[in-house]
Amino acid sequence: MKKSDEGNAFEHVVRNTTFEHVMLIGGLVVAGYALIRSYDFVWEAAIFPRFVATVTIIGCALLLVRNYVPAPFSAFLQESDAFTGMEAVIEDTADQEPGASPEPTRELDRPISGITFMSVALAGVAVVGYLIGLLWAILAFIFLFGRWFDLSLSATILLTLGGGLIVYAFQWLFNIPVIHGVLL
Amino acid sequence: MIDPEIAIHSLEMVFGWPALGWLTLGVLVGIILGVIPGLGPGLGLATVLPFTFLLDGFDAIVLLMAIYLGTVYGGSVTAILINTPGTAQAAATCLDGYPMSRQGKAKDALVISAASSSSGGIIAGLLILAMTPILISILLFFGSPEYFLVALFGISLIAIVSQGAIVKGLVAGAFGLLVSTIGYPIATGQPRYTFDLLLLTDGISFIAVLIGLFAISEMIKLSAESGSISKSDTDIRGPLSPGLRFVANNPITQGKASVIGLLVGAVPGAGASISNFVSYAEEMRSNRGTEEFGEGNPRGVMASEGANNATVFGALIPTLSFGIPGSGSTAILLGGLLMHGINPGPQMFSENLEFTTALFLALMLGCVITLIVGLFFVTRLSIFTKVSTNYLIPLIVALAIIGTLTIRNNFLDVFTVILFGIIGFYMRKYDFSIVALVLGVILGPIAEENLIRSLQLSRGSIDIFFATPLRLLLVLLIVLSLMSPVIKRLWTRRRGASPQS
Repeated sequence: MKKSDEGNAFEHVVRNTTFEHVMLIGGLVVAGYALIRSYDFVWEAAIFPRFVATVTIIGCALLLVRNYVPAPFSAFLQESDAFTGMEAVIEDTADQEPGASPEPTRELDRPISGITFMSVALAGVAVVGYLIGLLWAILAFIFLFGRWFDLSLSATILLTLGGGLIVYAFQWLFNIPVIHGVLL
Repeated sequence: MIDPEIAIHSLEMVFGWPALGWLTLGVLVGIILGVIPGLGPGLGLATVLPFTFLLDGFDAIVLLMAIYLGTVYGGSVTAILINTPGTAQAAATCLDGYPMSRQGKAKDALVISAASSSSGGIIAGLLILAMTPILISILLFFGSPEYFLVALFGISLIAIVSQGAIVKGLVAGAFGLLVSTIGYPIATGQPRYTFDLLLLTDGISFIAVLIGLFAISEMIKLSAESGSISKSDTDIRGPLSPGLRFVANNPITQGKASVIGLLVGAVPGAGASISNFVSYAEEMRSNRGTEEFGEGNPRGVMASEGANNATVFGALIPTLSFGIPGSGSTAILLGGLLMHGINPGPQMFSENLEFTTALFLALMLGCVITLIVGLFFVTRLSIFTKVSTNYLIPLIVALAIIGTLTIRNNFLDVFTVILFGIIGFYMRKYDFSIVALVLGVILGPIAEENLIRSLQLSRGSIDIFFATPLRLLLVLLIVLSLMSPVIKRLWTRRRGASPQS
């Protein structure tokens, strides 16, 4: 194969890769690891993880190749809701629920989407919370959220204070370690 | 019918303090959550769940059930007033409820909704209490092999009836079961998949998974939408009597809706999001040619609303007897039961019958509270349809994270809740069933324990799963559910070939 063909094939794969593929490959890796490690356990501890890991591996693999298998088998893999026959109705309402909102998607002039922002910010809460304390991580998250989604400054500050109050109240009531992390 | 002595003790539990207070509070919170567009029972229950560990087991379950019940009713208010079902359980209510509002009959629609919802729940509760002896005799046939098979059947059934491709649902369920194997297994003292990390020795908390999948993922989804604020100013003044009279004059519609709600609710995975449509469709079928639906027919509102609260009762049957929830919300309820050391099983209808009866009576009382709130405070409830979710998202995220940490004081749970929140969002986006995943995580230890016990009894032979007619039936049901895509395809092709079709 020529280098340019290889480059095109790589580009094609990258262009067509979605988060679903990432999840399925992640599932495959995790289940593969679980299956291999299960051979180190005694019989009673091994049989159940071995069984479910095998099912997960087969399922993930089938879903990954579903567009490349013969049409009837592909249709089987994508078939939904066998009993009720109400797929369309349920799907419509499920899409609405619980947002159920016919309102348009929020459009903000930002370099990344709101969903990406939320995912990254939440991951940040976990990491920053672990390092310097959950209280500070949550305060920072709420403030950033308010600014990102164009809430007024006063509303953002009020929300941040409200969030801080919630976290602090829990610290006071249940004595959970939220003020300090592993670094501070 | 249940023993009167048990009934009296159960009534004492329900009307005792603080259970009655938690019941009332739960219904009110639930109704408000249902009325706010964007929030639903799953989110409400998941957010409240960690805080219930402060309560006594009965009070905690009553609070959770009351929130669920209230949310199901609350969803109908927005369905009627702004054509936006607060929850999927009220989706069919929009079809005739909103046209009624546009015709100036919003108050009638709201009264019919409150009265039929509450009556539906009470009828379903009475039917369940009447059926208890039958349930007990059925449950006595279940031992370890049956419970393992029921757990597998529950996951496969939920994977099938949930939204999205069946194979995706099964993969989600299997992955959930796999997640549950982290930590110390019940059968041996050998840790699994802990990487020698202290944080992982107690395993992954199913509560953290559940809160991540239901609360955090929902907040990520909502953050992409405009703040759901109703701009409607529908006139909801008027007398209560026309709506109440309509419900009282249509007992057959009410009875049918209640029974449909109860039966559909008892099917694992089906839930109220289906029952309200099934009941509505049945009402349309039985009145074909005599009445028009979809243009403001009060019977349509009654059929939908009469079924959805009854479904809450129905969903509790498989949840309490087998640990197989009827819906996402009952999966969280199941989490609540396990969190408080209440193990579902036949004992819920034998040794713990008093507790179970009290739960159903509490739900029935919750229906009465729903009716009172619905009739007398509904005009004030409409204020909540104007709450913007923009202000709720960061606070719910904070509550969900801190609440999760509170349960075990293990920082792993913070990572879990956020990781599964992000995974849950993308699972919804790509049509994977999050209920199947949750169920896998919750049922994993139960399924494994029963599998190992069965195999120990049979000295490692899988013949034990085919040894009795009941086990064979369960195996057959699992196979049928797994083969359902093929069966559906063949059925569709056959119907297509038939000239009558």
